[in-house]
Amino acid sequence: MTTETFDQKTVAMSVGRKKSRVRDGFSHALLIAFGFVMLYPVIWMLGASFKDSAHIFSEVSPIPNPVILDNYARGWEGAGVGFGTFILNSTIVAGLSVIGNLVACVLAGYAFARLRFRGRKLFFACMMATLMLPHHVLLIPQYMLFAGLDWVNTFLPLVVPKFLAVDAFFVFLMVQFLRGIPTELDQAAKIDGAGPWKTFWFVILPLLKPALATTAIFTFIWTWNDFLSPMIYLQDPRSYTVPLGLNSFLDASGDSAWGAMFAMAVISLGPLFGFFLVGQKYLTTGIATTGLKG
Amino acid sequence: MTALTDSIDAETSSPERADERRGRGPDPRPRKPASLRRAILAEKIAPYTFLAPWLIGFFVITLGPMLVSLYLSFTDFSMLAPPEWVGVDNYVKLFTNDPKYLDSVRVTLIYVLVSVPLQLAFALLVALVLNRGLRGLSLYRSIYYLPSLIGASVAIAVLWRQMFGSNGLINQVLDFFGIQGMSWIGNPETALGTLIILNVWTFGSPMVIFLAALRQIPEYLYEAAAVDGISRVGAFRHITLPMLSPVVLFNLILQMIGAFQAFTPAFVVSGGTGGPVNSTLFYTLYLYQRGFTGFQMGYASAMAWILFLGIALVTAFNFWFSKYWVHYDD
Amino acid sequence: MFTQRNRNGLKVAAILAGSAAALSLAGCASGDTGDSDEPIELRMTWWGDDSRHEVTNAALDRFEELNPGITVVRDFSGFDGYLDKITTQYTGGNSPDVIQLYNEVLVEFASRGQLVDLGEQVDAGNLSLDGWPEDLLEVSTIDGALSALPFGLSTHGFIFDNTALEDLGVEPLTEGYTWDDLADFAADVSEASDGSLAGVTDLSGGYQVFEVWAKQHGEEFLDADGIGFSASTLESFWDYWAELRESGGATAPDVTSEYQATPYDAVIAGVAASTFLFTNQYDGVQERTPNVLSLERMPGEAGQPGQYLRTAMNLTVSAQSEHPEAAAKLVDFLVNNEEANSILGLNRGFPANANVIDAASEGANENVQRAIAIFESVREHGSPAPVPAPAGSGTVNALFQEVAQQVQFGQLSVADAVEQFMSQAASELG
Repeated sequence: MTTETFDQKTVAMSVGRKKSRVRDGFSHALLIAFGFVMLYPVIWMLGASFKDSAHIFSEVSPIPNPVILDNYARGWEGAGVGFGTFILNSTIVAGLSVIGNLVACVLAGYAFARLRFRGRKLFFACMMATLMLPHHVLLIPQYMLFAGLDWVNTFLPLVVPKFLAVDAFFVFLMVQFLRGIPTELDQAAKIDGAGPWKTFWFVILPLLKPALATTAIFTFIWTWNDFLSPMIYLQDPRSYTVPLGLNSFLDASGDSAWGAMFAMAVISLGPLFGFFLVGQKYLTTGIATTGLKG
Repeated sequence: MTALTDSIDAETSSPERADERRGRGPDPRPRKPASLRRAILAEKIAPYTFLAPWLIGFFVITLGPMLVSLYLSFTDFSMLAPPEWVGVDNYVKLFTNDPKYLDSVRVTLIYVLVSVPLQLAFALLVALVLNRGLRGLSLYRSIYYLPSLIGASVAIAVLWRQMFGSNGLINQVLDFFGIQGMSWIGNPETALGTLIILNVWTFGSPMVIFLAALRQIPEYLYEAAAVDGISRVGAFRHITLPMLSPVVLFNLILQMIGAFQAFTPAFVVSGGTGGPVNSTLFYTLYLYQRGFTGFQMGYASAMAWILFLGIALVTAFNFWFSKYWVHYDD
Repeated sequence: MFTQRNRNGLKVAAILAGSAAALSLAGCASGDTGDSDEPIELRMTWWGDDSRHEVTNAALDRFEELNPGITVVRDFSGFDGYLDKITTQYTGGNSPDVIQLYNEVLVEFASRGQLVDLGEQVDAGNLSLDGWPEDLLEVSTIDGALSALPFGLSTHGFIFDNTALEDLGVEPLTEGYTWDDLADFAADVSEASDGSLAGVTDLSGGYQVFEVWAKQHGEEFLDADGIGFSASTLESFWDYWAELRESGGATAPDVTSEYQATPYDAVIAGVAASTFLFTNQYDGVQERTPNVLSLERMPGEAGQPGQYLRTAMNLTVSAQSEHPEAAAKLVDFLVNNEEANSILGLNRGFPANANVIDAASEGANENVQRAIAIFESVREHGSPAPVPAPAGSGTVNALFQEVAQQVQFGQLSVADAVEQFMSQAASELG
């Protein structure tokens, strides 16, 4: 009896494995085909970065012929400043922003999601409200504020707000993730005598890794790609970030160095993609993998 | 600080002892009630210490500029001369004497209603596929995220023309099948559609959030379900969806707000015009045209505050309605 | 990078409380010239691509060498976001000292007193106008003040894709061709290519093209009082293009719309055989296609000419500048100095100062030589430059394009479109 069930089980398992291998193959084919459609514009851009300017827009195929490297050489000069400088600046701004958002948003999110205090609902509504006003009309008042502080032409207007949890997107993200974490854990910690800070540090934070990784990834990418704020606050090309560097190749009213722009756009995808690759590993470590049981 | 937390620990770590003490009536040692009071005070203050950065940011960096823009919405403000108070003129003009404004409202509503559900469904579907134990998943995840990396860049204008322009990839494929194409971004019937596709194409952000949330669903729930003989579909309906619902709400609210305020795609694809024939004239694009190109920042601020009210209403509805479908554990 | 001058945390509260009040102060300038011995820091902004940044930086380096004690911060960028940046910085009382401005917005800044009257700097001896044609100075005079100096001139031109035309066996048009010739040519191209190549891009939405058309009819597009043309002239222009669309000679509306901002991209992409551009764009456009492009004047120039020496961009000094004298010296160097112009070349167009044209055009390639020839032919046989249009003209330009597009897509008849444009434009300029 026991052996029979055992055999049945193994047979069922191996059939299932075969079935799932076929299904996996199918999934892979679908995922790859889909990936190609997703990637066509990126492939086109990569191709264009190796074309001379006479062939970027006058031909349809994304495959460069002849392959030239001039665009990379011209682009790397970065309009006399050096594109490396732009990448370094972006790395500093994006890196500091990641730290700022991680610290400030998770603290605020924890307070909103788990703690009870006077004004909680009102403040939460205020926090959501800050998401709703188009930022174009805030540019001028905020510029006046930072100009008054003498922060213009520094990275401070780009970085300091992150340390003050101004990105409500991430505060709300933390709130929603926290509310998905069973409260029994907090209760248990409380019964064990942990105060809010201890509970936060030892119980909540480890469980929030996927949300923290998400915040880090998005902050890095969005700050890296941000155009309007650096455009307005940075006045010295040596402090320009990557999007300003890319934009400085393009004159919509006249000549544009498209090849150089595409080349540098490809280069600057590197750090972004790298950050995503590293960050996404932490996306996959949640309760599910830490094997926490109820 | 450590002393403070230590005292909290001493007070609360052993409930029985506290009960004992209470049973004994007033504590003979006067030090304890004071520290108890301090502990209670600390617990009351703690939330604000967590919230302190946000509070400073809100009151110093965000609220002031918001109020200034509210004030400006009642003025005629060219940015190059001091603002002049005009009362509600800007608001009146918006609804009575600006047909282009109503166009922009219509375009934006269509965009929100079509692109947000599509993008979210797509992101969730891909996240579910990529959450399975397939080999090379991290590679797929990364590849699918790539479009989101360039979706907001200046390059996108050119790339979109390479896809949907008269000489673009779509028309080449159609041509292969003998179908005469057209300029999809140049036709007022289809231009908005290409921007909706652009939004769906950059589904990476909600996908990542869904993935992160999927990893937070405790495995034991599925194990328990399997023991109970619940099917995969059943598990999806009764475990995955409810556990995911707070994050679905998050994505829904944020993507809607984002779609209401969509600017970059329309700006770069139409070169800032909102054409052809205003078919991609997003709300914020028109706001930008008025404010920065037309030197009417007062008018633009009025537009912004109406949008603010609209988004607030939609968001409030979303929160209210979420009572019926979002499952919280607290 | 975190250089901060006198940070003061307490300021924050004061600023927030008074930021509305601060708005009303933003327009004020401090006329303080400072001690002449103190080193002066100027900030100059311009837009362009990297080749423009390179030559401008080189010219500014030379300026710093020649003027010890003055340094120039180079705040350059691409075209996107340029205007947002300038206006925001103005509002914050933090504008650059020397600004490159484009025509459409010059009046907006000048009419609100935000630009230094360069005439005063001429009187003070900081700026020379030797070699400047009088009518060009008039073009830059707004409300009686010399608000700007042209920083490069250009004129309209028409390009033909000779390589594609050779394949089709159609002769490209040359000097002295008329609008009717263009219509016939366009129909021929479309026929010879079986409709796969349009003869010309539909230019009915191009206000710069209509400007030439109006001048050829003895009228103006916009003048100091607003609209300067009659309804019948606009109707004839839009009728002309309606016929070209019907004959298949002009691009289809969706294609026109795709290439609206830069019609020459349609020629580069092989969608149309000819279009209009400005002469200073010709060399750059030719570089972007292996096909041979020829450059001609606009159609219909043999009779009453409509082309003129057009300011491509302006150089201005901000009224907020703390060092207007030094800024004027910099302007003087950039527009009048022979060495500066040999460094700057023709990147921004032709120098307005006739004395430095030779220095600027030294070593020009054959494309640029052709552009120079067209430019010189307009100088000899052209129309006077139009006086500045009133504020709001930028919105009218956009409106022109928008209404024309509605006609292209058949949403409006030409007659209705003319009526609609005339009334809306009048109210915008009102």
